[in-house]
Amino acid sequence: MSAQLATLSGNGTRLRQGLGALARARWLSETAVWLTRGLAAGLLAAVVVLLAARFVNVPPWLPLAATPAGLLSGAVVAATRPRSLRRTALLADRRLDFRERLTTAWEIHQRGLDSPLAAAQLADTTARLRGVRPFRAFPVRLPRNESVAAVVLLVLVMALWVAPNPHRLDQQRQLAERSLIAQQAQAVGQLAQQIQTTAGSQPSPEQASTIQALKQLQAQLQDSKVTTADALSELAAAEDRLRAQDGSAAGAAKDGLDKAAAALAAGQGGDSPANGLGQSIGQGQYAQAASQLQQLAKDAAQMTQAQRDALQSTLNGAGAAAAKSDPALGQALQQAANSLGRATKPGDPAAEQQAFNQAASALQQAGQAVTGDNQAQQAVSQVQASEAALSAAQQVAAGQNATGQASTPGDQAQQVSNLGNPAVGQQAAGSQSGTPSDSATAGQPSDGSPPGSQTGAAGDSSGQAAGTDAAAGQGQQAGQATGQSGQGANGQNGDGSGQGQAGGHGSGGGPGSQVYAPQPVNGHTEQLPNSATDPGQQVAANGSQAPQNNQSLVPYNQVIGSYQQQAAQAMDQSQVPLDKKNLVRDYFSALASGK
Amino acid sequence: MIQTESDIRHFADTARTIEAEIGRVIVGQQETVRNIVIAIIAGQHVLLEGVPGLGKTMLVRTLSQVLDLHFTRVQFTPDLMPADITGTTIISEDADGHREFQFQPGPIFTSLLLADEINRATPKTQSALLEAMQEKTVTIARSTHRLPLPFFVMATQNPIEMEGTYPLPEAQLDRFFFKLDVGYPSAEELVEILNRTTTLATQQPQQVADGPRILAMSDLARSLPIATPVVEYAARLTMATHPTDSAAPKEVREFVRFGASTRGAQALVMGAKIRAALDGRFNAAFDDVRQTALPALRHRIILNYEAEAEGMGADRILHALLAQVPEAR
Repeated sequence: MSAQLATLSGNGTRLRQGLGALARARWLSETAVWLTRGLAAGLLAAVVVLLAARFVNVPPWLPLAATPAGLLSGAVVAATRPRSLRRTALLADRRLDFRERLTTAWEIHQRGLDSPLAAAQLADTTARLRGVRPFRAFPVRLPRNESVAAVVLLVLVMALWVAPNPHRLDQQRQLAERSLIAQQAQAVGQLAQQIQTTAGSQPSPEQASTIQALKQLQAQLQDSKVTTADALSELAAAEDRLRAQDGSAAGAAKDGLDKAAAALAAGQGGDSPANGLGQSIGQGQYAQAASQLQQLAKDAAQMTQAQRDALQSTLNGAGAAAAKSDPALGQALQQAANSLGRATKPGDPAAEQQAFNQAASALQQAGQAVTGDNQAQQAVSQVQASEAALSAAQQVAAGQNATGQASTPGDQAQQVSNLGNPAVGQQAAGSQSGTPSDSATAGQPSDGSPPGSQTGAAGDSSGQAAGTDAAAGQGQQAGQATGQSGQGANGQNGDGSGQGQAGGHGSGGGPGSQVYAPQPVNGHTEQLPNSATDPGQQVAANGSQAPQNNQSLVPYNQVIGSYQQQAAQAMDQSQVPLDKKNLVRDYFSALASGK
Repeated sequence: MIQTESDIRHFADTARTIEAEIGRVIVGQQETVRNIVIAIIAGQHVLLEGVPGLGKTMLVRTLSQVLDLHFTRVQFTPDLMPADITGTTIISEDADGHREFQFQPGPIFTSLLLADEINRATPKTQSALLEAMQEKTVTIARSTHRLPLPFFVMATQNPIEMEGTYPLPEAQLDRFFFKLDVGYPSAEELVEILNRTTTLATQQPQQVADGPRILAMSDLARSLPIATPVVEYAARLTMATHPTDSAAPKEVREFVRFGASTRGAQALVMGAKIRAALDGRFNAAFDDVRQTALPALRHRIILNYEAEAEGMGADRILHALLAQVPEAR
């Protein structure tokens, strides 16, 4: 009996050991299964998240985290699943076709049954278990269905990851637009600061008005909720406000100063004391000119009679010249000249000094008016440039939304952000906006000057300029152009200062490369037959002829000179924003160096 | 009583020999023979259903020869009375002229009773077997008489002749351990039957066991270990035959009026154990339960009218049951 018990105990131990080995193999097998299931679940979650990201904002880390989270879940499930030896015995019986021998033996062992049949059963089971390799019952292999699902889901995840996400593209575009608006707000603010610095503590009313308009615009653009459309609306309103400023006095003052400068220059001799005065006025250095005038009063006492007479004559001439446009300046200059005459007799240096001071004051006032007007023009130019940049951004976005083309997810936003950088798209087909009186045909100025006085006015052949009041250009890169529209070919005065803006791409080729310089087809224009509402609208006679097939396509080196001249003129007339002048200069310098 | 590995081997050998000896007379019907052997070892009764001429009576007779059991055949007819089976008390007079009631045992006092065409007898007569089958006793005139052991009832019934028959009551059916469908032989088997029965040569089976040996085998089978999940599976199968059970398959809910009784579950487990022992194993398996399910349960589930209308038999329902009830949870 004791021998039987010993045998029973030994078989029980062997059974426990055998089942332990089976349980370990089962754990590994189930872990592989649950990890695969977790992977599939994680990939499924990633697919769901990536799909959701096409409609709602999803944190960018979420799709990346979904798969590891799924794997982790699988590992947790595998680790926490109950693994009783009884269950292992049941599963092993099934897989090894043991016909419930292990289950029965485990129960016999657990209950401590010691009947002869129980002992025989236990012995039979342990004998069979001896030759069994645990991994035959519980092989470690990936489940087929879950593996296939994981592979399919992985492919799906990669496809969704690589495919453009319209929602994200839209967000990036909005971000780029907001960035562009912020850039414009910053530029406007810088200009306001610059004007304020120039004006000093006592700005003229024009300057104060300009500064206020610019600051107000800056504040509106800095609003985080402002959209591109809102920004354009604000810019248009600001432009209207700036344009509404009365520039007639400044014009008269400018005219008076120019005439006075011309007269001073004409009256200057080799040793004229007024040497430099005319030059300073001519160069727009009005404060320096006022100082020079005051200094002349001080120096008058030491002047020879001939010098005094020459100065008197010169100032008289300048006063007379300026009087027609700016009576106050003319009168002040003449009084200063007269004071010199009085001083030759008994001499009245105080009266002489006072008269010169008054003339200096009048000169300074006129100069301030001119400077203020110039600054207002600068402000208008800046606002127009901002409008151009934002409009181009809007067009790029609209064009890409319509065509749905985007080579890479960042392209669209990149193009929008490039709009703030005029170096991109240096050649652009311009769309000119102007008043109905503009009758320029196909961009051909009537004065015969080279077409496209706008900076960066020429784009590639894909740019369209139909000669209507506004023509939109299209292209892969956006550019911006600010300039003057020309006069109509038929002699109608085109007064509009054109705002060119368009998208376009152009590769700056060599001097002989062809560029588009708009020319009237067959040299004449025709009235639109049904254009009752706008008689000034004209189209090319052979409108079906493509621009590149006519004379508008000219060698680059034939037009670049006149373009450069127009650009220089525009800068001299302060029609180019201050912060863009260097850019324009660099542009033409770069072209020149490339010759 | 020592039950060891050699006992199990002897058990299996004996059973195989019994089957082999029966097979010398009965061609084919191996599964039927095996189930009869299982029922015999379990000490239980069998209902054989099949059309006439398939060798049912021959089978039982051969079994009695192989097991050396006293065999009695009773042809059940509508006018058969209970006393014709159980026996009766008669007045007898001895030499001295004393008269006394004396019990005259009926044909039921045997080891192997063949109740041929049992469904032709009236329910009253059929019920006369109830006590004998369950208690293995007969009570007449307040006197209980013990039947010889082992005691088996092998009943037959014809499924196609319904006129003039009395279907067995559920209580009676439940007392049969197995209900076996005796089918037609295959062509090859029929050829073999013809060869054996149309010549002068006759096969005489040898006795290979006796009553005490059968009782010993029964004890051994009852001692066989069976794992709890296997017993639970038998219980779940039985429970699932009830249309009100939550685990009952759709077929059971639609076509079964009453499910199997506790005797059905007992038959499943006992049959599984004996099958395992016949296979030389020391424990019963799920597969043993599955193989026992049809003969043990087919007569214990009562079908409704819809099942009859749609020709849904008990076996189809049990197949659905086996397919849907999981072995272990």
